[in-house]
Amino acid sequence: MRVVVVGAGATGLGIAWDLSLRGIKVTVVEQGDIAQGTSGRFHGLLHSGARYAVRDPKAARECFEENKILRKIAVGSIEPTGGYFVEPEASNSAYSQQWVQAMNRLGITMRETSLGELRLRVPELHPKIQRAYWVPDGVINGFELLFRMRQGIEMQGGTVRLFTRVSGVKVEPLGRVEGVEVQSRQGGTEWIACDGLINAAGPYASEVAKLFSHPFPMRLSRGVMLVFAERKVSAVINRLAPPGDGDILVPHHRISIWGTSDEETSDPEAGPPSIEESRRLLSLARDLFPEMHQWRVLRAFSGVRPLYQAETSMDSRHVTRDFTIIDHAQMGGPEAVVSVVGGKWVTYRLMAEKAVDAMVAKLGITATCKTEDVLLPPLGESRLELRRDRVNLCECEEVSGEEVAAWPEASLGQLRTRTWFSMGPCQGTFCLHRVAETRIADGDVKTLDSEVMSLRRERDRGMAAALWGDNARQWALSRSIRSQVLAEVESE
Amino acid sequence: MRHVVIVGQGPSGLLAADWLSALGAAVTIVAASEGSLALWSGSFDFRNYDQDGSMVTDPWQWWAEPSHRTFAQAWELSDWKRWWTALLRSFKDIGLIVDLTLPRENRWIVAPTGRLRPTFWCPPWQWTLSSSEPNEPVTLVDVGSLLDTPINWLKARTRNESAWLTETVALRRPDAWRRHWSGLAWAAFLDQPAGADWLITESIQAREHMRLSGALVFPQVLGVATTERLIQRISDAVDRPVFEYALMPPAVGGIRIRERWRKSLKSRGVLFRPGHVVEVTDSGVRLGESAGRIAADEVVIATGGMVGGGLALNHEGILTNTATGERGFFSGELNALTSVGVGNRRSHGYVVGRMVGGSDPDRHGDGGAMNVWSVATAVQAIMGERAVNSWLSTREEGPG
Ligand SMILES: Cc1cc2nc3c(=O)[nH]c(=O)nc-3n(C[C@H](O)[C@H](O)[C@H](O)COP(=O)(O)OP(=O)(O)OC[C@H]3O[C@@H](n4cnc5c(N)ncnc54)[C@H](O)[C@@H]3O)c2cc1C
Ligand SMILES: Cc1cc2nc3c(=O)[nH]c(=O)nc-3n(C[C@H](O)[C@H](O)[C@H](O)COP(=O)(O)OP(=O)(O)OC[C@H]3O[C@@H](n4cnc5c(N)ncnc54)[C@H](O)[C@@H]3O)c2cc1C
Repeated sequence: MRVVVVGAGATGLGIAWDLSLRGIKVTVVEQGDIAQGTSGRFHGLLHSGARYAVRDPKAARECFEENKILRKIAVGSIEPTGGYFVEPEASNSAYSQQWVQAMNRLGITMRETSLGELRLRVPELHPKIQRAYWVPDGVINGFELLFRMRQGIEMQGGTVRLFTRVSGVKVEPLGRVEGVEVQSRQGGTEWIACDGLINAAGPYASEVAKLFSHPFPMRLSRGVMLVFAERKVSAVINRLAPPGDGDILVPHHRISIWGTSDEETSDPEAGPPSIEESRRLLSLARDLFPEMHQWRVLRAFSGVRPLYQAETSMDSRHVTRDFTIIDHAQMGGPEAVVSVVGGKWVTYRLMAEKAVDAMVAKLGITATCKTEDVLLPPLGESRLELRRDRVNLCECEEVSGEEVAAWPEASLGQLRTRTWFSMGPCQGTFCLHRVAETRIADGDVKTLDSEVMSLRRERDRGMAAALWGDNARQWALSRSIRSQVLAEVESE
Repeated sequence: MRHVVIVGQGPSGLLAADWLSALGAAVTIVAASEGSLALWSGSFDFRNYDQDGSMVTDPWQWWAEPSHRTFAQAWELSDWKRWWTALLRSFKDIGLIVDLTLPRENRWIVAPTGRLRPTFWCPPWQWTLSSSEPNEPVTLVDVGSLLDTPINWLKARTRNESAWLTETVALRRPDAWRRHWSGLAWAAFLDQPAGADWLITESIQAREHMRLSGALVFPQVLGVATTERLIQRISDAVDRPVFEYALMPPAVGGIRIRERWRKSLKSRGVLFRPGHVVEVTDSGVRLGESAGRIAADEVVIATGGMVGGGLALNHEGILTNTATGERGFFSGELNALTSVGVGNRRSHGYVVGRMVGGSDPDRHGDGGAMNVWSVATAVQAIMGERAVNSWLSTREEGPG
């Protein structure tokens, strides 16, 4: 018995982990790298559900429950910072009342905080905040959690195939799925036989569905986020207002991420943000963080929410954050094929549970979900355990040669998400070639050069999208060093 | 005596100070911080890349074509010749070992990842190649665990190019060595007599393992103050030419030039003052944080553009000249706001170096030419063409 899962985002890996724990063989097929999709381009917020309490109570409730579970099973990759909902001056207090009622109704933990305490804890906030509530928000280290899931899946005998795209689905005459056609980066095609198929392709889910049935209506929504160099707040800060653009600041690692926006799109590829998008996002911070334009900005990035809505009249902010499981047999498609769409990072486990429940029913077996109680195996190598007299290749993020060596198979792009190198203020200016050098012995120089250049372009785009203050100067310095010192001249 | 305030102590500020003081002006340099010489090895570029990114071999020929000239429109090759020679003379005066013959073509240097890059003039310690497809045999020295050395890159790049013979010899580490030693820490060690002695002993040892008979090339760590002496000693000991390849910033090569230049300028009466200029007026400059004013007859703005801190870009897209306070809107071109007042003094002084519009050293490799041309133009405008011409001709004729 084998199930193929399309997509190695939070949802796909969550599903594969769930299947593995139920004793079912699984192969995950991912067209890019882990964290290359939306799951590596999100805000990092472990929602308490509070954000959706008024408009989307079902999603709110699910977030709250899953938040509690993730703190248990993903301990180490969740930072329990807590969060505040703060009401800026001159905002509509009627919403606050509505929100408090909804929170009470849903039973989401909440406590009103004195403004004195708030000012002490979050001195960066606007002095004229009128009201504040503490909620159990937290921060997800998304990269790490994804790697833990992958490790767990492989420990259970499952397979995760990266840089391999599902390009076809084979259905037997009786209408059951029989296998998938996959294509590797190098262009080779092969078949993987399976008894069930779960489509967790995020924003591409509808594209994947076309391989075996009708596409389904998705409401893709693009969001932009700004990264600042310091940890400006100790807890998540949310604007107490109906969900809108530019209303959450998440402290993450040593940085802070401000977001986000919500714009309907038809393109599952996020594409780099424009400087206009970044400036607009920044301008929305005034009533919460009046000094934000002076903070040291690092870069901007974007992601695409794989939302789903059968009705088509709403704008994407009003589309539910709840998820949907589609049984394709019920829509005239093949048997034993299930798609999962919508949802949040925080609810990936619940989405996986429901999707796998549907799948095991199709496969005619009984096996109950175990993910709620099983700890995700922690990664062997911990950043903190490494020796202290080491020489850092990446000085901003303190990444040593030993850490890089711990990922012998990873490409430079993969090393970035695994070690955090090149994510600090210099954005790879002084470390990329050093990290690349550690790969010289086995790699050929052409491949290495092209990996270096593609990471440079990726970093450069993010910096250029937030080109102001010291970041503008760093960008110019980086450009000079790349061309005048390293001779990385690209013809335009 | 005319008093000129120069804002900025990068290569263009130092060059302006050098030539202006030589012509008899009283010069004060005001700078907020370091200039860019500490970031690069001191090779002066003329024109390295064509518009389409291909390498330029003969920059003289390139500049001879009028349609090519992005700046220096009015300059003939004879102007370039005179002023490049003046630059080399200045380098000679500050104590570098300089051959006053101008290069006829670009040469190639090796970047820290083993890529080759053309350049026009190099300091004497710099290892250069006469072509982008080198075939001169070379022995590279590995001092071990020094970040940013191109040894491994070069080995990999030349693996399949049998035409280029390279070999590596490793030195045993000195007792004083620590894991975190950067290029600068190495240079400080080698400036000490004990460090120099260790180096000579080790080089003689290493000689046993050298199979090739070309140059011996070290990473750029051979001291800051004693470089030439060290190079001579090693060369005598191993009986072959000794050079260095440049590393990443901080760049020991650029720092050597900066140190000697500052020392020489100070000895000639040039004053160095720390300070952040926030306004330039007809009567001089005003410093930020109420640090007062400095009166001047003329002001030269050598503030380095975006990299040097002479330009600042804010979140609304407003570009500010940090020294004059002028503002403009950022059009996506970093050169915007910079081409004010080259040569002809406008309300805000003479602009030189990276602040000058019309050049893009990153894409074209014309940074050195930009410095030479813009400083020469400002010097001519300030001191008068007659005085400058007679000064230049004495420099050309005078003993070397
Ligand atoms: C701006 C923004 C901010 C967000 N912030 C938060 C937040 O703070 N908290 C939170 O809980 N949620 C947040 N979310 C939502 C959350 O990130 C997403 O709901 C979640 O990451 C979706 O995961 P996924 O696995 O379904 O999709 P993805 O992570 O996109 O994974 C789908 C994968 O499928 C692969 N794939 C597609 N087609 C194929 C194919 N044919 N063959 C093989 N592989 C294929 C893709 O490459 C991709 O890796 C945010 C989303 C956005 C856009
Ligand atoms: C990484 C790098 C590598 C390079 N490599 C080469 C090379 O190989 N060959 C080559 O020919 N050229 C090279 N260049 C040189 C480059 O092309 C320019 O020619 C050079 O940087 C210009 O120097 P500058 O004197 O105009 O400015 P800078 O050297 O940047 O100096 C600017 C000075 O102005 C000061 N300043 C700025 N604003 C103010 C203010 N408001 N008040 C007071 N002081 C102020 C700064 O503190 C600084 O001292 C390189 C440059 C860089 C950055």
